[in-house]
Amino acid sequence: MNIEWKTAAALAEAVNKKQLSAAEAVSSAIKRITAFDSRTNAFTDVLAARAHETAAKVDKRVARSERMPLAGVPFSVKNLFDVKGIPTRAGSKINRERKPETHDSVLIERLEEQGAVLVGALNMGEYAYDFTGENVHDGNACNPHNAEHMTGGSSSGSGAAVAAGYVQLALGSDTNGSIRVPSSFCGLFGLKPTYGRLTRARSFPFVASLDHLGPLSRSALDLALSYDAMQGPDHEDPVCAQREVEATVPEIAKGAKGLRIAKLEGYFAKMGEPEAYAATELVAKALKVSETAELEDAGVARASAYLITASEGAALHLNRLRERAGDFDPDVRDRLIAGAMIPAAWTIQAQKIRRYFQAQAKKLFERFDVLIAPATPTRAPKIGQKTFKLDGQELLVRPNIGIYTQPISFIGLPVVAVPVWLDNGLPIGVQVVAPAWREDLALRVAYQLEQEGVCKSKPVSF
Amino acid sequence: MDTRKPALPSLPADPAALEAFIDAGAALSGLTVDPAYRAGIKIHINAVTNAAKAVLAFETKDDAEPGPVFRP
Repeated sequence: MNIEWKTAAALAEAVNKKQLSAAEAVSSAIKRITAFDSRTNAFTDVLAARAHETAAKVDKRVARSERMPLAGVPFSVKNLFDVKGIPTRAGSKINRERKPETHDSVLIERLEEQGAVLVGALNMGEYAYDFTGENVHDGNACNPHNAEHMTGGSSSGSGAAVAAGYVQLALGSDTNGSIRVPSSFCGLFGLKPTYGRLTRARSFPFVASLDHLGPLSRSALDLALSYDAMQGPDHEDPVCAQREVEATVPEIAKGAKGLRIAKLEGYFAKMGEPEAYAATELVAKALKVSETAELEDAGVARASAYLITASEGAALHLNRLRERAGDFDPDVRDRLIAGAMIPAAWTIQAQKIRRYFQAQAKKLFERFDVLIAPATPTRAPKIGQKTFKLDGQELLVRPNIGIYTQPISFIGLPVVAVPVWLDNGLPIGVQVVAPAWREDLALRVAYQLEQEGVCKSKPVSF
Repeated sequence: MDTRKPALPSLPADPAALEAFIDAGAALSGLTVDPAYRAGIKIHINAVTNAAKAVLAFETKDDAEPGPVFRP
C-alpha cells in the first residue's frame, strides 16, 4: 500500500521495524500536499523544514531501538493550535498579525514525544465559529471526495487533510461539533473526548465552557493511539482534569461485546434528511441494537448551547469587534455582534439547564453504555449553499448543521463520529456517544464497526 | 399572588424599535455598527431570541446550579 493510505498504526509499525524511515514518510506527505493541496486548500502553513528535522530525530531514536506508538506518523493541526515559529491565526485576518509563537501547543508536544511529526497548520472557519469550512481570508477548504462540496467546519482543513491522504492524523477543536461535522462530511473517524480530558493549553479559545480538542483519522485504532498519547493532566489548562492516562488501545479490540447500546430517538429522529437516519439505522443493525432511548430536552439543550456560544464568543472578541469589525469574516462578525447584545440572564439560565441536562443524560447511562445518533442532518452541502430544507422547513445551513452534535457537546460527553457510505455519493457520519470519561467504550464500538466493514474511510485519487 | 407567566423574549414588532435596540446595545458595548452589518445582525438577534424562548420557558429551580466549570 502507498505510504499515504497506510493507517498511523501500520505506518508507525513499519518505521519501528525499520521497513520505512520517518524521513520517507514525511517526504511522501510533503510531496502529496505540494502536488494536490491547490484542489483542497487544507493547509495554511506547510512546515517542510521543521518536519524533515523532526523526522531525522525520530529516525535516530528508531536507530537506538526506541519504539514509539506514532513513529514517523505525519500529522497536522488546525491553525488555532500554537505552533512554534508561526502566529496562531485561528482562521482570522486579525490574528495573523500576532508575533510568531515561541512554543508548540501541549498536544503537539505530546504527539511528537511519541514519534509523530508535525507537517503543517490547517485551514479553519474564522475563530471556530463555523460549521461549513468556508473562510473569506484563506479561501474555502474543499471536500476531497467532491471539491464542490463543503468539508464541514470549523476544523475544515483537518477533515480535508486526512481525507485527502496528506497526513494520517489531524487535530481539531470541537465546541459545538467542529470535529464531528468535518468527520461526517469527509468520511472520517473523529473523537471529541470528554470535556476537560485533553489539555487546551496553548491553543486559541472560542467558548471556554464548551471547547474541546481531539483527533481526526482514517481508523478507530489511530484515534485511540493518538488520544492515548495526548491524555494526562496539565497545570496550564485549569479545566484539564487531574486524571492519569486511561489507555484505550489495550481495550479497543473488545469491540461492542457486552455493551448495552440504544439508538437515540425523539429529537435525534427529527430535522434530518433520510440518509442521516439510514446511516444511523445501518450502524444500529450492525450492532444488533433493538432498544431506543430518548434524551429528553435535547432541543432546549441545543438552544442553551447556542446562547452560551453566542454570548461567550462575543465576550472573547468584544475588543476586536470594537476596534477592527471590518477585518472579520462578515458571517462571523454579525453573529458575534448579535451575541454581544444577549442579556446575561439568558446565558445564566442556559448554564443552569446544562447542569439539569447533564443529570438527564446520567440517568440514561444507568440503562445504557453507549448511545448512537446521527452526526449531521445531511451529507455535505455544496460550498456557498446558504439554506437547506429539514423536515420541510427552509433553514440557514450555517447555524443548523450542528443540530445533532450541539446537545452532546453541551454536556461534554465523549463521542466518536464514524463514517458511513450509503451509496456511491458522499459519506455521512454517526455519533457513538459514551458516558463521561468512557472514551474507551465509544472507541471499542467504532473499532468493531470498522472491523466489520460497516464504517470505513475511503481513499481518494486526484 | 400574581400567577401570570412572564412574557417570553421576542423581537420588537416595530422595525424602528429593533433598530433602536441595536443602536442602544452597540453603544452600551462600545461597538460601531456599520449600516452594512445591520441586516446580518438582525438575522442573528432573531436566532438568539428564538433560542432564548426555549431556554427561558424551561423551568429551573432557584437552587439549580449553573454548569460552567470552576475548580477552586
